[in-house]
Amino acid sequence: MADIELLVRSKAVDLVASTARRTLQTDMGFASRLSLLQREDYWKIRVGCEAEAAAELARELAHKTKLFVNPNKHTCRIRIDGQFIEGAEDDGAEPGVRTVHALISFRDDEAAVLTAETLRSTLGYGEAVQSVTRGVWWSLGLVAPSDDAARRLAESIIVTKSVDEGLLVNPHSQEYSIV
Amino acid sequence: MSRPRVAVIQFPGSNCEHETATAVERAGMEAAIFRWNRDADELGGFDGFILPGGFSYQDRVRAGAIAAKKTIMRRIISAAADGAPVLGICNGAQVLVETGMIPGGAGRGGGGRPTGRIDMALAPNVMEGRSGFYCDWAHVRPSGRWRECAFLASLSADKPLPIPIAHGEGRFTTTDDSVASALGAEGRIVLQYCTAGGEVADGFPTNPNGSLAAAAGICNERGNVMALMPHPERVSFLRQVPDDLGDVWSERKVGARGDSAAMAGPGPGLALFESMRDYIRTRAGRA
Repeated sequence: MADIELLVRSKAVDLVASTARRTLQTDMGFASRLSLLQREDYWKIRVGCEAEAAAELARELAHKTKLFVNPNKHTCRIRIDGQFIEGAEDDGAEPGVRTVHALISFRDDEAAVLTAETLRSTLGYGEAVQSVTRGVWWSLGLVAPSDDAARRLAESIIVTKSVDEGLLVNPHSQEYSIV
Repeated sequence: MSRPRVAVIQFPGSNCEHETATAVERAGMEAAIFRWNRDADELGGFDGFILPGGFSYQDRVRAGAIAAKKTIMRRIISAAADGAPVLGICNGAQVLVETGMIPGGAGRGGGGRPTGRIDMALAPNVMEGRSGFYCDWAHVRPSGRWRECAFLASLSADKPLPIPIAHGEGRFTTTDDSVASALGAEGRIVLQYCTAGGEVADGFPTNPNGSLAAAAGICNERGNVMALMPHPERVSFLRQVPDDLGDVWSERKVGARGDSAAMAGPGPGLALFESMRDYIRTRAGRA
């Protein structure tokens, strides 16, 4: 069993990320503390084979099925069991800026279930595909004096607790983890 | 008082503002489409506010999330706290939930006063065998303390209303059990999805999105703010009702064929706007 992770990024300007960044900086007071905000579509496909076979399957899923990645407008990084086999850790933070990653997904995500069914039946992968998880992988560049402070700052940006606090997650419909 | 003045707030990506303004005018009020980036102080001249349907900010990040943070919403929150009626339709409902105006303190004590907390979400639809956007006609009926809601007082509890729905994220939900139970106990679920015969049922398609307690509309404690997923503005004329819903409204519409005046008569959604008008007049009379 292995976990394939696909991180899919737009080649063009990501308007979702730029709108979120502008809202956080202009409307919510994070202008001096948030220097970078990027997002990637995130897919985790749990497959019933070992890492070596999973790597070949991952490349096929990413580059041949056209289900997750449209090469005209996307780039893709691939991880198997947490190790990149295509692309690399994306930590392009400026000096003095700490990067925090957060994975956000909807609870009860029917689209992920239907994607798993599509892989199994329509695309013929059968029981090799055990489950699919879908989410958004956010990368936050934060001006903070320590890793702990950066994590706390990330929480305050991510978790929507009130009209004044947080933006990226509504905890009543979404789950998140800070990586 | 002269005709009540209602601001229909237009965010980038709103797309129901003109139908909403038409419904407001049909109900005897004056409607103005008010762009989000105008000076929010100009809202002081309005008696009520409607956040219309659409896709504000293209649903970026999450439906309603970006609009909820804009300066204009601070002014509308303040007006609602003073008792002004605020109706959020579809995407407008998503904005109200993302500001915490709905449910606005349910289950938190303090007489249900707004806390500013985000206590629920409008989550992606859960529909048997499908996912994503769903567009259809639904029936709704008043429930809970609907007679105290600014937008429903003119309705009859015995008559289900056919109203169109069109959304991908319309499922009222909360992870806080105390909020869920308070919404029921406090009678805040004021419209529920039902069959054409008026029976509330939880399964798809009667409850078209898997919403908590088949909720189609939830109001705040005071009754002057309501988040509503169906679109009453799309059915303010009788002619907008389909022929085949199997209810009295379809019968009435079929019976009106050939009579253009009857076809231009009130549709089932108009009563919500008339209720808003009556609420504003009553409020002005008290002032």
